[in-house]
Amino acid sequence: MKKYWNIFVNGLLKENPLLVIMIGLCSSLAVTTKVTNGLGMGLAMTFVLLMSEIIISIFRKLIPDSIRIPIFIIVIASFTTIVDLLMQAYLPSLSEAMGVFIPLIVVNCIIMGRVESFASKHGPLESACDALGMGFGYLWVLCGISLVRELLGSGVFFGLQVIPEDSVITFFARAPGGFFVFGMFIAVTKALKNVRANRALAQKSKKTVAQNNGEAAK
Amino acid sequence: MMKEMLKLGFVLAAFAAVACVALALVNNVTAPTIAAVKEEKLYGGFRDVFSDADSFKPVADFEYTSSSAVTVDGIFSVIKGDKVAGVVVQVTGPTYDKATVIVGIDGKKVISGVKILEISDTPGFGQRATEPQFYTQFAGKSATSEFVPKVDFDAISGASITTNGFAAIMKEASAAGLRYLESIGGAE
Repeated sequence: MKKYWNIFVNGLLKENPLLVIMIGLCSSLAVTTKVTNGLGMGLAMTFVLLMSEIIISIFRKLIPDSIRIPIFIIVIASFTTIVDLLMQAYLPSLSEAMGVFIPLIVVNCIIMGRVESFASKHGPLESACDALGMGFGYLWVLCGISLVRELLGSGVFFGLQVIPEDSVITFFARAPGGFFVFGMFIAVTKALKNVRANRALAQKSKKTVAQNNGEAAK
Repeated sequence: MMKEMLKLGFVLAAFAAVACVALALVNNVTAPTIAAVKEEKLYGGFRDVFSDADSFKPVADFEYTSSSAVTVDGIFSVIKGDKVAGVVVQVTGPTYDKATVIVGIDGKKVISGVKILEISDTPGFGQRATEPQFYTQFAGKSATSEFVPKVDFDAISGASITTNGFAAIMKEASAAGLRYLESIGGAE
């Protein structure tokens, strides 16, 4: 149980696809002008990732090594098309807002990367955990970025206009704002990592100092 | 060697076949809903581009061959009372990806409204054509305009390819609409 939990948590922060591995950035920067877009994109992507990883890990022993990439693409493209059709039929407004980025999930490096490096080597259950972890890792960063961008760029916070329209910072709704907010997210992750590493280092040196003192007292 | 290649080909074909069947099933289920959504949007859009109308009628007996990459998907005559008050033209043309637009033209050869039914450009760039600030600026302009970006209408900043695409779309839609109005001897 612990094993599956660890695989799941891994994608959320420690190996977050966007903040740490830094793959799949183009879609994440482009759609994050609104929280609903971020949410929709994150969920669509998680669905495709989950289904592709499960299917590929089930059939991993039947996939010859030399043609694994085309087979991965077939599987990923099928699920992407399914998501695209379903969204067009039942969520037309969201599908419109995403534009070309839904079909482009096919070439999202996160999916290809995880399928190649994880699902093709692990069982379906572990792969499902990995897909959910990576998917939610992608989802929460997307929601975080779009929350900041929507608040500062269009003054909207969960559908409420909190900043009057003529005093918003349009910069954040445009592409450079996306890069800026994304950079901030990476910086915070990096800072947290550094703090943690320093703390571990300090604890270690404290221990050795204490040891040395103990030896000196003898 | 030959046997190995055949085996690989067979495996690949098997995966592709299963994927095809799955997609065909999903398509069967969603196709009617998607068509309904599109049609609803089209007829809803007619009111937005031509508010002063009683009904809209598809024109079947009118041929228009486009001179550019923009295609005319449909021409609808606008009926008010028992007379034709204008025309709505639906066109699809290349922008950064492509866009489907309806353009209304009244009897005075003035554009009554423009609405984007579908555009698959980049969000944040070409997608900004869907902001009212962009597409509403065409209303009230003459349909005989040359539609030169930045001269006849405001461009979308950072999306010149989309803007140029719209120039071509507007030009073609106007040409088709005017030709139709001419063929029926003008409108009220």
